[in-house]
Amino acid sequence: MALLCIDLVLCAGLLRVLSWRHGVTPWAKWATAIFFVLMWCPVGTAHLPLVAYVRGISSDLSISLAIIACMGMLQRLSGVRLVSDRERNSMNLAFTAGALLLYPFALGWGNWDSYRLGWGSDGMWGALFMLSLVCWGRGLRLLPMLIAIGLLAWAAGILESTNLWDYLIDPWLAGGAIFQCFKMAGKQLLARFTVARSGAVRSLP
Amino acid sequence: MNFRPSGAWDRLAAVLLVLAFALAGWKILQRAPASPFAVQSGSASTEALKLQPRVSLPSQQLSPDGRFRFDAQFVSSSPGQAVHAASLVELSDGRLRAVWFSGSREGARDVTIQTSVMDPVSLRWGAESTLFDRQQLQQGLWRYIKKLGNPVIARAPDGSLCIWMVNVSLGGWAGSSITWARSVDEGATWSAPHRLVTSPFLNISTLVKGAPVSFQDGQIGLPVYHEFITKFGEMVRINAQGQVVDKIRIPGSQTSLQPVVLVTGSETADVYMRSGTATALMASQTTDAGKTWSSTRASTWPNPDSALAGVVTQAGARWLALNPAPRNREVLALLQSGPGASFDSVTPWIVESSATPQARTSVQDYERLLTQELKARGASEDQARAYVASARRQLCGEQSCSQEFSYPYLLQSRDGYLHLVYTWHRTRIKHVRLDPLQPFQAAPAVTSRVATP
Repeated sequence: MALLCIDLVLCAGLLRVLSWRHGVTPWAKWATAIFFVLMWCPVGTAHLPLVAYVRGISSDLSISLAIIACMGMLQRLSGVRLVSDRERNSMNLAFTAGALLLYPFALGWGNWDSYRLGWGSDGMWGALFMLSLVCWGRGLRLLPMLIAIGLLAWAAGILESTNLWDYLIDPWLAGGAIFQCFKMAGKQLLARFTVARSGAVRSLP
Repeated sequence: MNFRPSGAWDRLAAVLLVLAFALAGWKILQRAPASPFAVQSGSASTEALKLQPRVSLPSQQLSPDGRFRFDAQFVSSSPGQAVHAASLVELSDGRLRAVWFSGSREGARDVTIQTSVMDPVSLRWGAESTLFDRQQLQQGLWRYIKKLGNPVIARAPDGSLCIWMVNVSLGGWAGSSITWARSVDEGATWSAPHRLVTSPFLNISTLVKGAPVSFQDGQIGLPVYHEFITKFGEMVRINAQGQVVDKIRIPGSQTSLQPVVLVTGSETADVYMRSGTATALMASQTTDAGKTWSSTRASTWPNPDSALAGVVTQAGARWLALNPAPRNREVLALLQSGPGASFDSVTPWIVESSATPQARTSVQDYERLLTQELKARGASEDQARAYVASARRQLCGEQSCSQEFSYPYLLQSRDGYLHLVYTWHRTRIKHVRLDPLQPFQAAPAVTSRVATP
């Protein structure tokens, strides 16, 4: 399961790169499909599939990242827009907040270990429930669905990890979300600056 | 598929959400409450100790300060290898099994986990064999592994043997994860390796060195430590299936590593840690079976940034094995304290010591010293040369060498003897067996020599 998640995320990344300029061409689709198969070819003295070497570095990816990657691929292949900007922005904000809560404390900032919550804490369950309810009430569906699938996968124990955090978030997803948040903030600042500047130009005598 | 809140998709999403929270909530409710430590009873063991005949073997010798006697022999038997981080378990028939890592150098890709078994009557260690290598781990874990180290072997509460070891896919030791395997035939064969997931950041930087402790509900408490960005000690709780169920950080342990837990009661335990800044032996306590730990404090014993080991004997005495000198690993000693007493003012039992612990040894003297002991313990000329070359490669500069007796591991066998294994000059693993009830001479007598039969 972990290897499949990694392969899917790699394929989604490749398809994105190949369709950067000219959209999703048949060549890009075939190249992605061939890449997916190639990653399972055994290499080296240990006869490990290529994707297992990637796993050594990437570690296991979260269920959330695998779903987001699959949605991205589906969106490109079908040409149908699946996620609105509002859904995407709220998701990026939630993952950024999650990353800021998780990684500094888990890596030794202070004596409190946020990662510990993931081994079955009422507090984390309650926080996720509240977050899902708030999102649902605001008409957002993507984040509650990612949480729901992450919870189901955790309850079923489909990954090596027994910690709920590992089903919901991973450093690659966190890095991407933080980057998107900075990009979003940059765009908003630029827009404000442009509006303020054009207003100042208009108000000149 | 669309994530707009309308229609059948919306109802399906709502059902999925309710189901997910219900199942996750049920799983959280099934979580067993933390159990007290499993404590061994004292009286039976003291009896057992008295019943065992005390045989004086040719390998018996006096300690360097002449205060006590012990048997000593080498465990590892591959000349020229860099060996380190041994641990020990008693098998059901009374034999001892040691494990350690061995290779061309620490962190090299040819490092393997080696094992050997000792006969308790003759005190002879058998030929060493390979337990795990990098390729085996890669195939079992389905991921690339660059290097491995620090094997810790112990008996699980269910009677099986477990081995935990550190392995790295990327970077140095700070990028380590822990892999484990189980044996139900006393270490003859092992299960496929499994990964312990203990960190959210690529599951890196959890390492193991200390002996595990048991809980009354069959869970295991594995003392581990973190090294990436900052250092700290932790206790991982592992269930009977080998999965992590909790992890408790030792507060204030930043800069400390390699915790060693001494269980003194069903709710009480002390933890001692190596100082990453080479200041002092660090300590913390629990009074609620490891649910919480007191803030880490420095003890009065110096620690030269070196590993330690500990054991609580069946009679309740607490023992630590450590390097008591503040700046190097040239002295290895045992500390003993009674139940509830402190280690702070005890007299160390010196197991091995350089003749000049304050100064480095010249290369010529170093080679002579090592060759002398290796030959006295049965090494041939060629073997001694290979062992010395390995030690020189790791511990010598152009002019001088530092002697090293490090990375101890302690165990008490059912016959009452205390067993210590440690790294001898990074070239061999040495085993010391001593009677913990023997009289400890008040004043130094003679210097250490292998006793003549």
